[in-house]
Amino acid sequence: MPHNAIEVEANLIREQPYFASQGSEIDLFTAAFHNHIPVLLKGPTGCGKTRFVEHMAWRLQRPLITVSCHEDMTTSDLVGRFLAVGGETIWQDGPLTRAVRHGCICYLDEIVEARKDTIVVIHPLADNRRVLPIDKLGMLLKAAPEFCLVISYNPGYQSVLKDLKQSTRQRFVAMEFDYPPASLEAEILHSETGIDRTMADLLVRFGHLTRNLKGNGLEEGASTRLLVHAARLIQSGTAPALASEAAITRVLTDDAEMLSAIQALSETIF
Amino acid sequence: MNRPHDPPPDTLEEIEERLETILEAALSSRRTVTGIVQIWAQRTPEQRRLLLHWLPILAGLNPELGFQCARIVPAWLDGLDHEALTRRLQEVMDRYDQSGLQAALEALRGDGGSMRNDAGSVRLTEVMGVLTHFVTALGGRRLGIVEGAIPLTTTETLILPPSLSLRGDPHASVKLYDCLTAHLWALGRFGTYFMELPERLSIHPDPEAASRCYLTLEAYRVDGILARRLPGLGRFMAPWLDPDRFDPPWNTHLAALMAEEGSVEESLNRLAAVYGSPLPEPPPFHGALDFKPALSTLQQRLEREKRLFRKILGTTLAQMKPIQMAVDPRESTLEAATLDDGMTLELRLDGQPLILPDDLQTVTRSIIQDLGQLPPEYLQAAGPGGYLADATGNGAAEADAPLTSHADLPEDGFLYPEWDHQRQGYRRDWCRLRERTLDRSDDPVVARTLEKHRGLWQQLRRKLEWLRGGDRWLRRQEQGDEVDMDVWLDSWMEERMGQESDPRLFRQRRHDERNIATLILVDMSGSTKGWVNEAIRESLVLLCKALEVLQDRFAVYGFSSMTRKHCDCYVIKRFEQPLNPEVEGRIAAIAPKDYTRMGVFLRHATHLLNQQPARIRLLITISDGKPEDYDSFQDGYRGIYGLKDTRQALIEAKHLGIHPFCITIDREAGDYLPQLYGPARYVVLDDVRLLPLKITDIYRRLTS
Ligand SMILES: Nc1ncnc2c1ncn2[C@@H]1O[C@H](COP(=O)(O)OP(=O)(O)OP(=O)(O)O)[C@@H](O)[C@H]1O
Ligand SMILES: [Mg+2]
Repeated sequence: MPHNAIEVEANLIREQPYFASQGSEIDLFTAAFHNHIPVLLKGPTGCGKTRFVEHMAWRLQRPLITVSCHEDMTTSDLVGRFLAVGGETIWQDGPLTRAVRHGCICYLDEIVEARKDTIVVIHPLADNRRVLPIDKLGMLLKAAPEFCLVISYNPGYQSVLKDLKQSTRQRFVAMEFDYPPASLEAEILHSETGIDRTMADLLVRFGHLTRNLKGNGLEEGASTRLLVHAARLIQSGTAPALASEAAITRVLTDDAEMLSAIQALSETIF
Repeated sequence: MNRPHDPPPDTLEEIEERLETILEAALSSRRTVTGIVQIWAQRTPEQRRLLLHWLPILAGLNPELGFQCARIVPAWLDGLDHEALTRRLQEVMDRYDQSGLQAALEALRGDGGSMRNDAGSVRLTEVMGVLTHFVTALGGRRLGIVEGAIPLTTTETLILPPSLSLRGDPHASVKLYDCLTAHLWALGRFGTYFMELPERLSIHPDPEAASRCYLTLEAYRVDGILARRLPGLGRFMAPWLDPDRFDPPWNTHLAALMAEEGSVEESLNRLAAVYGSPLPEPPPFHGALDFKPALSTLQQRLEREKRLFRKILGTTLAQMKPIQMAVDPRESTLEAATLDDGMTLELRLDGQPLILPDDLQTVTRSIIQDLGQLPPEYLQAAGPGGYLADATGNGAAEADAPLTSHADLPEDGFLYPEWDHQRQGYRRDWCRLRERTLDRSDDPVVARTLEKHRGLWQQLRRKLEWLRGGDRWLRRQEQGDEVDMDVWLDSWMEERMGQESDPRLFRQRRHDERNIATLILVDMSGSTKGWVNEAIRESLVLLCKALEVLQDRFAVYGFSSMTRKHCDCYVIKRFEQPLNPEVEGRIAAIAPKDYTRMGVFLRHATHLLNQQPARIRLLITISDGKPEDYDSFQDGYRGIYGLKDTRQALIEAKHLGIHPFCITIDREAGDYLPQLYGPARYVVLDDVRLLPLKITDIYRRLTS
């Protein structure tokens, strides 16, 4: 399948994605990769999970295939389907099959968004069998040695029903992510956007204030991602107060009272 | 009582007669209303009508207060409009509630800054909701905000003035509220109040004077910290913090305190140098120089949180043990590492780092804020029972915690304000609520109810499936709302290839579960005696079973009151408890007791729900009629007063994003209900067996 192979090559990451490590996550991931143990990343939105996987794919020199899971996703969306082309039917690999075949890192983002009957296809892949059943082709595809399965989920949003089943989670090595400590987060803002350290510190401080509101009227505080956005705006000339309002405050909530409160917090800082 | 449509008295005789009736208790043969009549006669009929509205209220609080008001207040009418007058009188009444007659008379006589009509003033009620979020964001823990004449912090509650005005500019006035809030919060956060403070001050000849100097130094020290951490706020405060404003010796000491990141020791060290010099004029964002309310709150909180910490820790370790590691919790070690701003805590169990559950994080953070560290004894397990032994053992003792020194504060329980519709203001700390446990009953009400309503229950169970709000598509259905094109295409392919195709070609719209926390408040007043009580218990059984099926978090509390000092909230099921035989035994034990002071219980329920991190928070009350209590002040908690307070408590709950839903079991559905429940959703049932079904409606409505 030369066609597929070229496509897979395109998923190789050539330039080092910047990732600021908080601890031993790089070593842990590397060990899991070499031992054929799939990885489960937990953590709130925008805390660097995707960036980490990109970084690891680059480090391990494996192509990265990312699938954002959603409720309507079917097994076929992952595994593949027949297409009708000029009266002929041809099989097309889904992203998971491609990764299994060509030894890529397959990242299933927000796995719990997918339905339970979809999630089960990864079970035989995620234990020591490392095979993908392709029902429509009537075959079991053995995973290439470099294949690595990574899934992510954010425990915070999960209602009881959307929890990841034990039979799924107990196949993985789990890594917990959270927003980086203040000084590291400021360093990330600086590296990502070039913003000066003083302003980066203020943005991080503002981020922390909003995170204190989590569960007290806000579903989630400002993520590292939002702070990066605000920093970018500031770097391109937007006034800090305006940048934080547009990139953070208004993104976090629509509730009028909460908006005023976050605005007041922003005024204490900028 | 005077009503707006009563004609204002015109002749001197009429005025005299009205005043004598109202002020009777304050008059004697040597003290008559003659002088007052002269004062009143100078006023327009409109003004007299206004005075006559307030006078009975004031005199009802205290006859002497009424008499003095009748003398003094008419003169205010030159300087104050209607609204400002109301505000001013509320201040006087607040002072009366808090500190008694003398303080109220002082407030009455003082000319006070609020005598003028401030164009740019802002009322606390307008900014209350925003400030609540604001202060939560600052500290990561929710603080109460209540209205009071003099700003003060108890470290759990901030007392803020009813209105503020700065430079006649509403925007600046709002900022002043923000700043005052931040300042009061910072006093609690950065260590101003600590248990040994009275002892440290006692070395000075006049500890009272020393405490005022100390609190002044501290106020500026925390302003310095705030200004560095929150530069925007620093710019706002700067004009008041300029060292040139202060006379020696204060100037050098305050400048030094504000400049360095010193601790409370720094203030104590400088105390001797400023002791005896007149205090500097405080900025408008400083509070009262009084540490007693804070210390007594601190004491209570430390005891409570130590128990809570150990309880959660015990539960956490107990849960971890079987799955993750085979350790004995008694032998495990635990470290709390304070990183950055004390934001991250680490727990090590036999050297292995673990993530603290959120509730443990919260309580640990709070303890560290108070004590600066987690004392090692908090981590030591208490004997063979582990951490849980002393934690659970003290559950009952919590309601009877030792009394603390400060006379104005409660010995135990929770204090809640109450809305007085006549004053258009709150009576501060008016009701004392205690959580009580209910002894289990052996009455097999659960089994009986499920047996009796077996049909209803099965029907209900099926219905519950549909309560999972939020739409989603179920794919591969044999029948459904529309053809699923993807599947259809697949199966068409499969058929062409001679394979067996999947007949489930449809997709169907479905509801999805949401993150809901529900608190059910059950009337246990005497009037529920008989069939109402039986019906309440039965529907509660069905409702609990339903919520259990839905896997929604829920709590159940019963309530009954006997005057504002005895509001008892019976714990039937806390949020974190499972629905087990013990809880069922308590449901069975729900029995009629005393009266129905709705407001205070709604406020407590709101407080409890607020701590639940759910997306949707529901407050369901089940009661049998009008709010009513047994007490003797004015007209007491009945009639309009009770209705309005209940209504106000519902508005407060809604304000905090809680959805109140009131269920009234009442055969002659009163016409007062719309007035009572106006702000909430409500339903009146004459057949309480409909209740479980009605609940399904509530959920459907709230989640669609
Ligand atoms: N440790 C980190 N190193 C470098 N950049 C980071 C780090 N953490 C966060 N970022 C920044 O935050 C942004 C958002 O991170 P990322 O997209 O990885 O979040 P995520 O955890 O995958 O979120 P989601 O769950 O919403 O997908 C990144 O684009 C990057 O700019
Ligand atoms: Mg991501």
